[in-house]
Amino acid sequence: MRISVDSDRCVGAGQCVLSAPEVFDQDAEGLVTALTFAPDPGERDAVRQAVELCPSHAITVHDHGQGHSQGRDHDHGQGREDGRGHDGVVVDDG
Amino acid sequence: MTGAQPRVVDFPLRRPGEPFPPPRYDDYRRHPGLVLSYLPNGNRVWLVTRHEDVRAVLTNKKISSNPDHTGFPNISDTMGVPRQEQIPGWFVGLDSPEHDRFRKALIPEFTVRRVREMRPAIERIVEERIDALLAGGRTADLVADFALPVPSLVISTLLGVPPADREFFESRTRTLVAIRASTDRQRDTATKELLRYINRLVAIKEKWPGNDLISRLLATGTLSAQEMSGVLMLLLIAGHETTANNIALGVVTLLLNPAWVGDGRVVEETLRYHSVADLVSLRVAVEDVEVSGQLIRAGEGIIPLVAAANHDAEVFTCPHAFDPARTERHHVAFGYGVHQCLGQNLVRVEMEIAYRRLFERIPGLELAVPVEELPFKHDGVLCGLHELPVRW
Repeated sequence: MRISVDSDRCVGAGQCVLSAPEVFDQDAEGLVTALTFAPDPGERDAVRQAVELCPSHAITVHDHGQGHSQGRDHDHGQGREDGRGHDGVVVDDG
Repeated sequence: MTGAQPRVVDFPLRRPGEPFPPPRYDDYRRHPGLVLSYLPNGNRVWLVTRHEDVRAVLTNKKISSNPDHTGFPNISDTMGVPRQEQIPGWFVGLDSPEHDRFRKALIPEFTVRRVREMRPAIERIVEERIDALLAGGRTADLVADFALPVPSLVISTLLGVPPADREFFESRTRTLVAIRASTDRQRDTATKELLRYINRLVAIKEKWPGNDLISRLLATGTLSAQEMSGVLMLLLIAGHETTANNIALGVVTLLLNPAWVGDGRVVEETLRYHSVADLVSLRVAVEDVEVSGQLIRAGEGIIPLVAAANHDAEVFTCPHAFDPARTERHHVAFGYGVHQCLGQNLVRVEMEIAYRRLFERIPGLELAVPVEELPFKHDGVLCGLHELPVRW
């Protein structure tokens, strides 16, 4: 599992830190920052919960084999992405 | 789909004696697309009831929070509450990017870490209020004597209100909320007194900065004096009655479901189950936009009903059951998108400490009236209780 975070989209709700404190943190400005971009497999459920709870789609999971699950797919309530090569990041679940 | 005739329903005012969320919501949710309603002023408003649709509306950039746009659903006419003016700093009524400057300035004040640091202060406030309850006899109104003072005192601590002024601050904030116990004129006076007090507090913090939100916000230099007072009033109003209602309704729910007393998961389930801010996230389309297959025209109002979304059986198993053990946590009680409640983690901590300490220290707590006689707020924007008579 690989993740990326987008502090420009972050609105500081802190749900990621509560869900997966080993993976996410809030920086001095209160915005999301990742403690690791390749969370342990044991963190998978916690990371998924963080993605599900994030109100601003600031976390992306690049999860090889299951398509990718992320919150950035309904920016305008339409036009979902296909999940491949998102943001130019090569995705790999590892 | 967009050509189909929409279903028209009455505006979703709460009715005395009706359970909340009303069974009508289940009916609306089963209807494909959205349902249409009309405000008393004749404006069309689309009601959004499914969880997926509510989240879509609250993240759609063609849909605005700004009440200055034509067609914004001004429900205050309907609910008999004064319209929040568009005062500078009232950033819940702004869209990105204008909104973001305010939110960004405040985010550091509400991080998980900062809220954790506030825990001892919140614990102290809760202990003192329970001391006062116990000193006052064996009966109390838990709304006036506990649920309202706790969040008010937490906010005054957050803002750096000196201890000597906290009683003044608490009494004025209580007047604002007590729509039964106070007159329009008293509430108007209390609002002005609070604004005047806040302006004076800002001036004092400008001269003698302390370790508090106002001083830190001033140090960022990003807000004008006018904006500062608007932001501070917003924090006060957003964090007070909402939290109080969750505390009061949560206590009632725990008295009715005592098996859950002492379980921290009650907090999240109370937020979902009661969804006190059902009619708070008001929106208007600023361009033609399609939601759930329904075309919404620019200038038409939209009301995402968060209580309906939080009781959507597609998302929550047995949604009308109070079940703190449920695993679905993604309710929209705090809204969704860029406006999602900034103080949500503070509220959670207040609720958790309030429930825990209240039942630990007053194990014999019980309702002093039958539950059917509790005065639910059918007449306010927020769901809650006017009074909560208890004894022990």
